[in-house]
Amino acid sequence: MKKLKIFLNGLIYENPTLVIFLGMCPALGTTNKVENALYMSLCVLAVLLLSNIIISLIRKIVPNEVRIPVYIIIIATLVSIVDMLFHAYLPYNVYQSLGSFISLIVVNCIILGRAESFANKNNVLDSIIDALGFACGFAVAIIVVAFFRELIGTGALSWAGHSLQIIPKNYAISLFASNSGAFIALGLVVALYSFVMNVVKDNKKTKAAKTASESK
Amino acid sequence: MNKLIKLPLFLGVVGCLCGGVLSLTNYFTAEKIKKDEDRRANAAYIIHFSNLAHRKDVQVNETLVNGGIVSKLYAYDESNEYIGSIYTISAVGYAGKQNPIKFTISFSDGKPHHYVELGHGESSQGAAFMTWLKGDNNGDRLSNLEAGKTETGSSITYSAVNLAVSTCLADYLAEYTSIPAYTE
Repeated sequence: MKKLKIFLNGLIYENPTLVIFLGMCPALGTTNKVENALYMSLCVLAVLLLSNIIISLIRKIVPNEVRIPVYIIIIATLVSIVDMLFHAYLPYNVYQSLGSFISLIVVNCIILGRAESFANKNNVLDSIIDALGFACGFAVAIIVVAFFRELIGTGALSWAGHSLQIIPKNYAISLFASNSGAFIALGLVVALYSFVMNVVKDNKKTKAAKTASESK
Repeated sequence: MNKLIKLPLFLGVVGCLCGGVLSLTNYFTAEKIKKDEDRRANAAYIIHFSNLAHRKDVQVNETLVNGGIVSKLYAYDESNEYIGSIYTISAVGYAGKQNPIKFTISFSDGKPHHYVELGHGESSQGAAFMTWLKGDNNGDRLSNLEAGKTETGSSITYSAVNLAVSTCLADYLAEYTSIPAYTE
């Protein structure tokens, strides 16, 4: 049960993009296409998972004074490895559109934040679950934002050079495909998420109050 | 004192380990990255020589620059043998410097080989001459550019393109027998 709580914490209650607003740079920069968002999510998942595992494994031997530099060296190495692998094996146009955002994962607060606040204090299995939860939370958030941006901004969804026109081009709102549209789309998704969470909380409170009054 | 040595030593060890892992990853991916980059860079020239495997960019001299040639390269096949030269031209015609006539032209076996239009700003004379030049299948038109006058007359555009192509041809003929095989 504790493991599920750790996973849901990253996925829902402390979603890095929608609740604690970490990793905003790739969340805004790579959400112009669902394809880009998915590859960025994979990249973050790989780095977060490996960094959490390594940091959790070495947490007892790292001197406290050099803790942060060591984490940064490890994260930078992992990001460079992922960057090289993506450069070699990913379609070049996708690698190009992700551009510097892959390198910027080094300074992504989600990675360093989880290393410092969770992997540093917990065992490997819990750290893996935490990394999966947070990476999935990040992935779901940016893929949803990218889906709305691409669909509303271009009227189509594209994958590997193939495009499916869903809304007629004349009805597309190109603002959403632009940089400023990223802020608006993210804001709308955050608002929707907060609304749903508040409704769920209210329902829980009402149910609890009802149960309490019935038991009296 | 103990910490003064221990902490940098620890950071050094971590740095070395990370460096080693990075080198290993680079060892496995560098060749594929380079191959892909070469393939992408060569893609624009494969239209000239379908068997192009390597290319060597060559510095353009003053004569070529004056003729409107922007870049020049030697094309080699898989067995590193020279197969021809490709010139990129940006000729200033009737539309002026703001809208030059851009194309690539290749030579092989001592004669003009292929011509690819990259875009031109000329609307009438330039377009007519380009169409005439592009309609050449055997290299006959490229080797007798004067015949192009029938399409465009002695226009500024025609003169610029003719000068560029003639300069390339002269440069190619002067050296094509002495170009060595490809070396890394």
